[in-house]
Amino acid sequence: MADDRSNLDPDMGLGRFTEPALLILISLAEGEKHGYAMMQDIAATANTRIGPGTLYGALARLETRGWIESVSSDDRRRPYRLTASGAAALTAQLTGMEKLATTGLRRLGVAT
Amino acid sequence: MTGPRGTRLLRLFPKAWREVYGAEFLALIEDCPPGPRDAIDILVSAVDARLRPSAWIAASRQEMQRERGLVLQAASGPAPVPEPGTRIRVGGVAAGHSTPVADRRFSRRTFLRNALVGSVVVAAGGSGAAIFAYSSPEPTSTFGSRIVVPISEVPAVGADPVKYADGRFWLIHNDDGVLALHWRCTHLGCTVPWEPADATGPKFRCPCHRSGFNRLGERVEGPAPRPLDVMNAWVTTEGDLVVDTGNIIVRETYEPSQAVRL
Repeated sequence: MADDRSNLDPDMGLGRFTEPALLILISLAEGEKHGYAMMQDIAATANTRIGPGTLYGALARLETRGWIESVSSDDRRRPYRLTASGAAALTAQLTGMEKLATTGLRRLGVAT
Repeated sequence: MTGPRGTRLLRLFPKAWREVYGAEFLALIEDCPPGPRDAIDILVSAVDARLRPSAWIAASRQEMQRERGLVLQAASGPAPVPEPGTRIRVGGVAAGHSTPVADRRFSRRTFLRNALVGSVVVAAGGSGAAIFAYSSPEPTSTFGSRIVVPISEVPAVGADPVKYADGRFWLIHNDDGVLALHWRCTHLGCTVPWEPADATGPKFRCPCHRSGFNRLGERVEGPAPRPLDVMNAWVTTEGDLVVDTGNIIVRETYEPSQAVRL
């Protein structure tokens, strides 16, 4: 599916959880966080509220895919962290988006 | 407070999902008690988790091992493998950039389950929409409200009745004044039209069982048990006629006091 696409895969194969997944990856790029901390961080940085169901739908997909992993913890609020492949995927995705954004802004005459 | 509610919401998810994420999900719900929109969000995600388990669980141990083999071969850097023993996970496998094999599978079982759940959802949605449409008031109708008829539109004395479909009434003018007749037949509720060329002279003639009513709404033929109902009406200080279509008066006979003097 995403095998021979360019580095900007529109949905990373995550379906309706694409955008939440991206926000989670960005949130975890800062350091390990548990679910509630991710929600707060995403609300603060992206100005978007992610519902608990959406959050865990995306978390489960990201974990299955190996892009994030849980950190063993005594607390029920289990923290997650980015894996190496997750960091690589996020880098690829964000680079692609940046290229796209640059192109769009240049065409608009906003950026040089 | 959120305890039983959170547990109930959690139960929407498949058992295998709960075993992996249940405890932390409950903790999250305790941290931010879900509102109605969150409840819908959780419901949707739970349905998704049930419909697409392959997205969060490896379809079988074999595939899991196959994927792990691929990843370990392909991974050049320190590909983190979940620490064994920390937690029971069925499908926590690093899959790198490749789409997990399970995602591509669309087995007969998956198809049948999707078809079953889909048809149930469609049926429930359809009947729900029908119930909603039936129980909500008709948005386009002004029936039930007060309708103002400018005095210039009121028919002349002796003229044919004028229909006001918005208010479901006929306006007639006789020597006693104006009557607003509810157009609903008092027999079984059919809409009654005015028939100026009826065989036995102009009258309201019900198309369903041939009940006939004269200009005053009095029954002259057919099975209707009483005259057409009238709607309460009055004249404003500006001289316009107001018909209250929400105030329908049942009557046994015509009386001049039912008419509004202009």
